[in-house]
Amino acid sequence: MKREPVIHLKNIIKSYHLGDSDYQALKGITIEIFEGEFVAIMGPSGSGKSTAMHIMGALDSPTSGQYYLDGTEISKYTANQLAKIRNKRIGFVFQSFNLLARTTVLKNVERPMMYGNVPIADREGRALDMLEMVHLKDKAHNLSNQLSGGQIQRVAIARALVMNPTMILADEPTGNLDSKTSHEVMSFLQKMNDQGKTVVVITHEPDIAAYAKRIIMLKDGLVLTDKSNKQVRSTIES
Amino acid sequence: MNYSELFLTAIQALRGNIFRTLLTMLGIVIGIASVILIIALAQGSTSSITSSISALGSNLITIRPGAEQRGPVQSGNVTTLTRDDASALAVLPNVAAVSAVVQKNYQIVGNGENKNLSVQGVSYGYPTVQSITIDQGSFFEEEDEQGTAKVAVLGPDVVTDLFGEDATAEALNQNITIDGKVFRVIGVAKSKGSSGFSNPDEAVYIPVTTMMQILSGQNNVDSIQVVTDDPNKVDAVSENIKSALMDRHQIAENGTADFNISTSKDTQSTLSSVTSTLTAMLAGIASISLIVGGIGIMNIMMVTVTERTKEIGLLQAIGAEQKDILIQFLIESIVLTFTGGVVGIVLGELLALIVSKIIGVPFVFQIKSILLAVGVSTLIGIIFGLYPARKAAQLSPIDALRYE
Repeated sequence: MKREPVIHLKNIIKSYHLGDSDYQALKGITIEIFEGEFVAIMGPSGSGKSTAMHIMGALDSPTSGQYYLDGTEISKYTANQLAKIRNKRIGFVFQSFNLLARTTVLKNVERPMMYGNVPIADREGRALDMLEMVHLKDKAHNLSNQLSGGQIQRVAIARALVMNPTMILADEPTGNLDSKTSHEVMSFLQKMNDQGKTVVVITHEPDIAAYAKRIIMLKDGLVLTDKSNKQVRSTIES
Repeated sequence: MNYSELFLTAIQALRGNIFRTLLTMLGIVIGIASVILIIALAQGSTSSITSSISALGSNLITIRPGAEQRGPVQSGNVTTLTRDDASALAVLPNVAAVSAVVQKNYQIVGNGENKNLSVQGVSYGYPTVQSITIDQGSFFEEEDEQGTAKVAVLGPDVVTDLFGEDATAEALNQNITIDGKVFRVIGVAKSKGSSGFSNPDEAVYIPVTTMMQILSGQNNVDSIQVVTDDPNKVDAVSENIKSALMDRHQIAENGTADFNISTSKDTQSTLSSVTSTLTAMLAGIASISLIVGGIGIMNIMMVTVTERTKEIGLLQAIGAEQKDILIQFLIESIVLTFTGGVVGIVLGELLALIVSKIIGVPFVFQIKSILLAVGVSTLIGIIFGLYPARKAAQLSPIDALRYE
């Protein structure tokens, strides 16, 4: 039996109206990602990687083409249906502005469960378990603005995992970090991947992409190369 | 999503910018406080007017000539009531006292002073009818009325006008002239205070017969005032008066009466409808400030939504649906106006308490106006919060996330 991909972008085109001309950010890309993969999507600015991230993250709908997430076609979903998909299937880690200000770490991690109708009694326990995985359980009651940049990204990873999503989608997760902290954050993503989570990282830095098992290069809205990474940069290495 | 969580989230967001929150609230606080203040003061004045009317006697019945009609009463030209009518009413059951009344203004000279004052020709029972008490001397008797005696009882203000302050004793037994005729002062009434329509302290009382025969030369009376011995019998006595007068005036039972009967209860209800109209008008003016406050809320909520665009994007990314965002911002504006409303109520009631003490009207505390204020302030939160909240809810997640 053929394995089904958890993420299947099929001939995705995304165009924007710019004045009276149309601009195609994605010109028909097809990507299949299977469960347990660690994929880096790379490309220079203007390559379409942000647009690809928006579509994979169910933040936007393609102009044409199909997007199967866990086998379900979601490219025609309404805004509220997409919100539900994001809540249950996708865990986001952004470059910046990941956490709600003036809110405790715990409440930040609990927030997706509030939208996902998880019973109140279960939330704190689940959030604390996730924080333990990123070694931040002791900071649970700190306010988010009291954390360092690396800690913020780790809390974001904990939050991304709390709804047990199909994949973690990290958009330039180390863009604001120094190399030591970047390594620390990537190590956590690797660790989650080792535990079976599908991880997709969008980055323009080869150093960061090196942590992934597979690297997809985009250029001018098309897939340029798609190959497995023979020399995965490992946690033990540095 | 659970509403109590959203409520806590809203409080947290509002506390995050406490100074702005308080300033925004101030608009609603002032609006609600002024409405509460105006309503409380208006209620206070109404109750003070009502009580001064009932001080006139809640068992007072007034009969005026002319058919009952809406609009200004034209008792002057209608000449259907006589002194005999008044005498006939005195024998009806439960009637404590009756007085015919003829009122005119005359030039009065006394102690070298010359004044134009209200002269009331009344019956000897008038002190009972209008609960007038005599300070010095006495009111005139039945014989004085029958003998058209030229005697006068002065209101305390008249004494002051003619004889000076605290000259009650000197005024007694002095002669004054009314329209050139000499009258002897036989009594001075105690001060009663203005009732709002007329001031009994500024009147000169003379026998109604003297008034009609010597001064005004008329056969009819302006009005007849009847007081019952029991406030609960006012309606029954009114009925009896009506049928007695219909009988005397030979009007068929289904015919139109040539007189009209009003009780102090009627006057009270007329007056309270006037004051409630006035209250509504003033409260309407005050509520303009509420609308201004509401626009302030809307303005700040718009700014808040713009400022928190990135936060909205993040919430959308982690699964907030449009309704979650809408309700979150709506609750923020409702918390803002509701809290402002509650503070406004407390402030308004406190001000009403202080002001009513100063201007001397009773302080009226009404749960109704408080509930109304709470309702109105919440409604303002919904109305003026809805547009910014919808704007927030309809943001596209990628635009919100990209917002710098």
